[in-house]
Amino acid sequence: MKQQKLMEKLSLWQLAVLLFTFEIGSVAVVGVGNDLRQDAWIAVAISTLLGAGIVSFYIMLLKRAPGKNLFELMTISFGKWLGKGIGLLYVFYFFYIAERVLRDFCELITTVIFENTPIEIISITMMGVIAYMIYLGLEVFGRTGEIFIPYVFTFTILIGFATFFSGEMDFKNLLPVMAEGSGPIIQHIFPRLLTFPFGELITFMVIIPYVTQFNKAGKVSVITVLVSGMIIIYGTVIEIVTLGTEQLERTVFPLLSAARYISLLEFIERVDLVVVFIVMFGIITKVSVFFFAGLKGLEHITNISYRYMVLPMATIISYGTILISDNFAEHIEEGIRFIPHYMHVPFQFILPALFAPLLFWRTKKQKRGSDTNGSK
Amino acid sequence: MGLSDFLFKRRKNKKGDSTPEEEIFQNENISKEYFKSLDKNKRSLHELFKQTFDFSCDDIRLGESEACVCYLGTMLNIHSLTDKVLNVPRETSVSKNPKNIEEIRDRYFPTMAFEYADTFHKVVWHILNGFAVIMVDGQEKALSLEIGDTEKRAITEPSTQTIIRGPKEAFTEDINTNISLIRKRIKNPYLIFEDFYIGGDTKTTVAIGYVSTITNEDILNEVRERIEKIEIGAVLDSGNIEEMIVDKSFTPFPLVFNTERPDSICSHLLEGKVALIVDGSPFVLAVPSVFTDFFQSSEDYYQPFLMPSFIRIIRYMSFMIALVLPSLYVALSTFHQELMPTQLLISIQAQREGVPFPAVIEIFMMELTFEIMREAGVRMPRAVGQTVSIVGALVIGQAAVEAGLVSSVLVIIVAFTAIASFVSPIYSFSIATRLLRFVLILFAAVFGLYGVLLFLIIMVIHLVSLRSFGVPYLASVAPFKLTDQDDVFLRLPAWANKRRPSYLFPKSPVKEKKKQKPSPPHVQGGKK
Repeated sequence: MKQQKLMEKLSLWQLAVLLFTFEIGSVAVVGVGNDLRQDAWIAVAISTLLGAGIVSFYIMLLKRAPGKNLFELMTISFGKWLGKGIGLLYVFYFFYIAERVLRDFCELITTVIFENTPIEIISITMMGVIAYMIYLGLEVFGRTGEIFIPYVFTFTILIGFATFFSGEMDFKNLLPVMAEGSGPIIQHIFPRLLTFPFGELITFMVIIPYVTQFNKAGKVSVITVLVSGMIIIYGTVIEIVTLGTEQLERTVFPLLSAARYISLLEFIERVDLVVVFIVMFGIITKVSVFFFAGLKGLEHITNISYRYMVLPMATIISYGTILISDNFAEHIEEGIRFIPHYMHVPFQFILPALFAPLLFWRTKKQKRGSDTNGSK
Repeated sequence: MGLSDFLFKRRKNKKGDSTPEEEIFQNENISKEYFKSLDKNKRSLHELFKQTFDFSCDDIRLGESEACVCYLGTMLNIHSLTDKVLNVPRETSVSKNPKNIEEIRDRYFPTMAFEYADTFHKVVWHILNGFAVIMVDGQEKALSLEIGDTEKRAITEPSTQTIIRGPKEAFTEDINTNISLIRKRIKNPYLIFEDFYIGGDTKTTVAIGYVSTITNEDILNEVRERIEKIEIGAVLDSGNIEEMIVDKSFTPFPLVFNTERPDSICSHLLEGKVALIVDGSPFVLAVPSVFTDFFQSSEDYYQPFLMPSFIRIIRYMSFMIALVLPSLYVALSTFHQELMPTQLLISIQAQREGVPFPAVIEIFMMELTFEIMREAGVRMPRAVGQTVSIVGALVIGQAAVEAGLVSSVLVIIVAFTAIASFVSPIYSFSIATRLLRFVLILFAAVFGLYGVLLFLIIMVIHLVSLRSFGVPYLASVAPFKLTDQDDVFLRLPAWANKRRPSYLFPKSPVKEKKKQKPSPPHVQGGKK
């Protein structure tokens, strides 16, 4: 039992829980495919299937060297120095995305609940909680997810039912299907939908090696991605049928706006809080995954236990959250125009595709017996 | 053999041949050696006990040998001592002189429980434990006779964990009584009790009990290890032990289960836990314990399963109410008025109109008042106990509202919270919510509902990081185990509950193998 404490392990269920919350995390805040109007759900459905493919690709890479995480794989394929250099780039990438995700949430809170509260307060308190959790370790992170998942799941489902019974849904809003042909959908799927939220799963290449039954992890991840994709479709449909295409395009926080239509028994109304709760836990999970992945990278590069770096890095992230953009409009604009092309695509697809052949070659060499390129 | 020795399996000592007595007195300035000469022994005993009035050392003659009986008069029944020990030698005619101590015992005290003491430490230990020690001149060993107990409290009904249906016995302060209460319920040769002596000044007997065919060895060794590590002066209650063996003491949540109900302890033992019984305390501990243990009453198993399942959900709900209700009030009335239904908001605000304080101050005032009343109610002598309820209900409740100091909604909230916090079957758990409530109110006052959520998330993170003897505190929920869910939030009927909790890693995980779902007698197609 003492050994369990030393080697941090996640169970398959915990992995599924984290993956699921990760997927619906910031999607619940900003929504996906709002530009596509009534066809958003089609795009989500297609990219879910593609997303499952992406995850299998990542898992395939991990299976070449079981127990090694993304950073160790890169050292294997690129050699010690180049591997660590690219690893450092990934660390920056992970931390930057963590900041962006956190910023989404800060904007939500300051727009919806605390109009007069400075954004710093939110980012610092959130990062404090995340740092505390990550400091306690991956196991604690996994178990926290297990505690909250029933609530996140049921509330998400209930929002749909509640809006339906409030009589605010108009399924005609889903029509016409693909009015402008498949062109806009395809353009939207790549790169935007595929990278966010599915390509971001590359962070799980740092977490999956810690799963106890590693050989089943691939199956579980793919299934979870499909399930979470379905929930995202469900959420998107709710947004479309409740808000209508016009309002959907204008709103910043679609799920929240949809939930505001809920009014049952003249008592259950203004359930913003419930949405904020789902979102809050989703965001905590998402930021934590990125944060943890980045920290693990730093650990690999510096050979210092990541726990020492939790507090300083958390400080930097909570500061960076405020620095990355001046206002929300700029933040969203960056997220649409800049991030997918210049950050997501290289880090999620190009680099892995680059080191995949190298990895195959090196591990093949290793399997033959000349074990010269150890990871440490 | 003494009763205690009969019940305890003597612990095999790792340090070789040192006996428990030696361990106990190893730090004290008492000579170890037992002399052949009666005078020398008497002198050292008198040296040790000279100032205490209840020590007696009566000279007697056993046949031709000089002897003396030493005892603490307050620790044994003086009548049976006179009958059985002091009177006996005179009646026996001397035909053949007994040569050694065994023969002396055989001749004079054939019917009594006994033990030999070959060191001076043992002699002292036996005297302290209420034996009458007979020292005979020229013998290498002393003879310790168990005389019979002094007065002790009778077995009564439990005072803190009452139930409606089920056994009504409670543990008492006497460790032997407590062990017999457990043994009476589990007639199993593999039910084992090991004894430890803890407390530099008190030398309190602490027993660990377990069923060796069920309990996991690792857990058991961990318990033994932690108990052996304890070095404190005094053990007056199991609470003293509890604080020394927990995995983490900086937490409001109890990591060790305590109960005064033997049936509850028995069910824990049979699940694969270890019981810790401390002499002098009617509260027996069970480790490792998990969060959900504190929401289960033993009565849950004595009533048909539907109602207890419902009651359990009520308990979890009231835990949440006790925790968050006051802070929700603060958050809603200070920050998020728009989240309340309009009618409710109007009525609350109308009541708050004359109140001169902000909601936080108001609720802090009332919560503190309530805590004070509760404490006073517990400590107050029985005779004046009524006063608290009268003062509480009339003066503070009604008058405060009428005087316009607090709103009546707030009084309802504080009262409801207080009642909800008592629903947990284990008192030490409701203390946790009392403490956390105040912190939560502060969070709500500063950050509103966001603060409440923030605090709840921090609390959950803290909870999942806790461990009780290596077992995750939220076990069977996080880490989630589907097979353990038959007895967590719901209690499934007894025939469906076939497995012991897997987080305890029991040696035999399955309780009953057969399918035992009861059904009406099978009718053969209505042929009869």
